[in-house]
This record gives sequence, C-alpha cells and structure tokens, in this order.
Amino acid sequence: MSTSTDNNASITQESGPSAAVQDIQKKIVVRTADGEVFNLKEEVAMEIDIIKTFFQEDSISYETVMPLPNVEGWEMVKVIEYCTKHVELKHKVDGYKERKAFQALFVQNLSTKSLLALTNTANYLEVKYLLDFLCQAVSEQIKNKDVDYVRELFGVENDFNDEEYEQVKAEAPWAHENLNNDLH
Amino acid sequence: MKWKPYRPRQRKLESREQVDRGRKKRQMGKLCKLSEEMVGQFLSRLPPKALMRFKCIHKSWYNLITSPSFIAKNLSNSKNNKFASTTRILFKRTVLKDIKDKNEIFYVLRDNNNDRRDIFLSLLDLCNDNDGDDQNLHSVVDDLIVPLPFSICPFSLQIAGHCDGLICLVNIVNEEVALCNPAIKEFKFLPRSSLLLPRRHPEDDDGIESDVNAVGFGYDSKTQDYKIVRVITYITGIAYTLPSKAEVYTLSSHSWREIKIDKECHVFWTPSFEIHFRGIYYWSALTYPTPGADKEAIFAFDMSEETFEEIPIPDGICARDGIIKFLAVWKESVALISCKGDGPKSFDIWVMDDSSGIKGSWTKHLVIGPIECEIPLVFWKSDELLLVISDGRVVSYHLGNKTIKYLPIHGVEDPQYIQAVVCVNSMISVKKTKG
Repeated sequence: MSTSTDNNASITQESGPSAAVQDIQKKIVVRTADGEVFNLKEEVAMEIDIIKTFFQEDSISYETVMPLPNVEGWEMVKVIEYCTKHVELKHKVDGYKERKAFQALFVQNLSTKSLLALTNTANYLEVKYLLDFLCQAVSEQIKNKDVDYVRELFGVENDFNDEEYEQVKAEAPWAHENLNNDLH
Repeated sequence: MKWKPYRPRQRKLESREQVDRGRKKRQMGKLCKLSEEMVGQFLSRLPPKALMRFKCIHKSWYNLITSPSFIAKNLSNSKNNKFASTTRILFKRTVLKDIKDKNEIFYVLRDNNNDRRDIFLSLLDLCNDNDGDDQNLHSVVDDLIVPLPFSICPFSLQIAGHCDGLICLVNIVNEEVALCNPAIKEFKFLPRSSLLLPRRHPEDDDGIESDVNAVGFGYDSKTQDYKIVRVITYITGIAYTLPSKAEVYTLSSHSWREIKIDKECHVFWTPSFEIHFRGIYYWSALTYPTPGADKEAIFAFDMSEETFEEIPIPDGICARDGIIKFLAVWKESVALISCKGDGPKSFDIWVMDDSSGIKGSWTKHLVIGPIECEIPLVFWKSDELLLVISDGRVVSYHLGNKTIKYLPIHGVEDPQYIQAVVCVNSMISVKKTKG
C-alpha cells in the first residue's frame, strides 16, 4: 500500500494485516554526544545543513547513523522542534502570529546559559534561521545586564587592569546606569 | 527501496551521574571556545547602550565593538531586523524644569525663561506588536538635553535631517549646526564656514549680510559619506539682490566645501515637512516661475549628485487657500499630507511616484481622519501615525481602527515646533577619529 500525500517519492510498503498507515517519509538517524539517538523526518533533517551535506555528498546511505559529537541530546530535541515548526509554517500563508507565539514558548524555559549553548549548536549544525533567532533571543536577554553578569555568562576573564577599566568605563558612564540583573 | 525499521545497537548504559558529568564537561568546553565570530553575532544585535558598556568586558570585545566592520554590521542589523520588537522614535521637545506648581508654567513660557526650560532629544521605543487592548505601547524614555546656548529657544532649534542614527540640528538664530548620535550621547558642533559673513552693523546700509536659508543632512551612497548641505542667501540694502551660494560638509573630511547652485528658490521652514529619503533632502519652498509671482513647491537636494531641483506639488495645495502641507515617508515613498487649517483635520495623503525618474507626479492614495490634532509628526508604521494634540501631548493614531493611544511624551512649546523622526540605532561616531 502506498500513500502519495508527501512530495517525496512514493515508497511501496508491504501491505499486511498489521500495516498501519505510517508516515512513509524517509528517516535520517543521528546520534548525539551523550549517546541519544534521533530519527528525523527527511524534510526536517534537510533543514540542518551539516546533515544535508553529510548525506548528499558521496550519496551516503540513509541507513548510516550520523554522529554529532558536539551536540547534546536536549539540544537536538530543541533543534528538531524548531525546524519541524519552520517546515510546517513554510506552507502557511500567514503564519506570523503563530510563529511569534511559538518562538516565545520555545525560549520560555531555557536559561540564558542554555540559550547560549543552543546558539553554538545551531551554528555548528548550520541552521541559519535558527541561529539568527537564537542570537536575537540571547541579545534581548543580555542587553540590560551588567559587565560582571555577561563576563560570567560567556566565561570571559577580565583583561583590563583597574586603571584601564575605569578609563574605558569613563567613555560612557551613563551606559552603566539603570540596568536590570534579574535572574533569567 | 524498501524501508526497514531501525533497531538501535544495545549500548552499555551509563549511570546518570556519568552522563551529566560528561555533558557538563562538554558544555563548559564549548562555551570557553566561543569564537570571536559567535561573540560578534551576539554583539551585533545589541543596542548602543549595551555595546558601550560591554566594551569593558574584554580588550578583544573593545576592539571588536569599535571596529568599522562591526559598526557597519550593527547598523545593518538595526536597519534590517526582522525580529525587531520595537521601533525607536526620537522626539525634539521642550520640557520645563523645577516647576513647583502648574501656575508657574504660564509664566515660564511667557517670559521665555531659559533657565527653567530644557530642550530634550527623547528616545522612545514603541512596541511593534500592539494589537489588542495593550495600552502599554512604549518603553523607557531616554532623554538627552541639548546644551545651551545652542538650545536657546524652542522654535529656533530644528532637526535638519537624520540618517543611520545620526541627527543634524540647526539653530536658525545663531546659525550653529551640530551633528549628534543620541544613542551614544555624542554631540559635535560643526565649524563655521567662510560663506557665512559676520553680522552687518545696523548703520551699514551697503554692507552685505548672509542669511542661512536652508540646511539638510543626508547620505551619499556613492561615496558612502554623510553630508550636510547649506544654502546661504545674501542681503544687501533692503532686498536680496545677490545670488545664493551653497556648501557641503562631509563627515569624512570634517570641513565645508562650496558647491554650485543654479536655482533661485526660497526655502521656508514649515512644521513636519523637511525629510531625507533615499539620498535626497526635501524642503518646503517658494519658487518664482515669473517675476512677481510665487508658487509653493518642494526644493530638493541630491546628496550624491550635489544638485538642486524644484519639484511641483499638486494643484490647489496652497497656503493662501488655507491648506497646510506636510511631507513624510510613508510605505517606502515620499508622501505629501494636506489638510485644511482649523478644527478636526482630514488629511489627504498624496504619494509621489518617481518610478519614471521625473519627480513631481502625485497620486492621492488615502484620506484619513477627521482627527482632532495640531500637526502630524511621522508614520512609524504604515498604518500608525504620530500626532501632536492641542495640549502638546503626542499620540499614535491607527489608520485602520481610527483609535488613538497616548505616549508618555509631551512638549510645552507651541505644538508645531515639536518634531519626531523614526530612528535606527547605530554606533557611528560623529567625532573625528583619533589616528
């Protein structure tokens, strides 16, 4: 029995008593650094350039499990979540509000540190629109934070001595006022 | 190809602690390896205040933030931000200080008392998504006081163009011109030029006096430079008999240079008119098609070509008939807004069609109102117009719903002298770079 609802080439499946109507899109399998394995729908996997390149070059068989040593399981979950939504909204004419609502929910329970890690991952996986969105989200969260907070967040050591620091600070003392260091 | 179900290999199960430790170690390693490119990605989306502060974080961050390529990327993000949740507006308005009770306001204004009054450049971020009944349209106002004696009087201080976060201010009384980037609180006065003559002695009837007729600020995309153009008329005796001269100041050279002007047009300041759009600056002017006859028109300067042009306006829009005109940028075009003077105003919106390269062909697109207001200020969205109402407060009028929302901005001066522009954030410095 074959279904031809997808754009992908139709694949014939053995019909049988237990043949449920399955999603017959091809799946791509990846394994993250912590050993978790993910089955991605092909159209979602192709949104991730590093995966797309891996399978398209040298026509590597889809049965190969692609290792992603720089990606954590939880990050993969989030990336798949975002890309799946992106693909879904591609076909919608007016998905603006839905996208906005989704984006708000997406970042809701992530700490800024997690967002930072996820941004790095989006960069490594080469998903441009996700990278853009996450960079913007991180920027929104840090724009009113003070120097110490941001240093700690990025793991950056201070390489100014006291005098130099005061000098730089004096270039724009107003920029250090009226900040908000709420837990985020 | 037949589809086979995938069966994962059996793996030795790690303990929860081992998995967590491994993850933490990888995560720390990843963060520390945050490349300069990634840091740049975050920083380039930040507003100027944050950037000025984060210069203190690390020397490499300081160098990055102050580099020309970063400043350009930051500007580009500011202009093209699809994710932008807010639109930044800059207001020029007058605010009273040390006012103990309302009665004092009348006297301070009547006596033109400068000690009790400041002219502010106020930055306000308006929320882009404000559908529904969310009255909180805005966020924190950031005020920059315009220093005296430049700000000697509300009507004498005018915004003469803005571009890429830079604002040009002119004082029509003392002829000073300043360039400003309010987002990074930078202010610079331009040098006086040789075309400006010293004030003529009152007894000296034959002397020549210069008078600044028009000033405009904009961007030359060919040389990628910011420019200020100034037209100067010369008065001798009791009439203007000498031809006008013009000069241009460029940010790159920090100096004035004379240019040719072959049109005799007299610019008259009128509220909410002058704009810079796509490299052209527009003024309201009177042209003299035949001796003795004058005609209202638009006078324009092309920043790249450094040429002047007279642009006709639709027939019937004439101050003598009580019609007031304003110019604005609307839906990526130059729009002329006209209305009859008194009472609640209905605004006719005309759009200039310059697709044929010939300027001055206008099409009426829309009528909005009637709205009880003094003057329109600026379209901050294609369907939202900022207006000043009679008590000096600023509101946002929604073209579709015909509803108004109040902004936390007001000015005490005559409403026609309040100005507003849609601003982008930039880190562009107006000062001479050192070395």
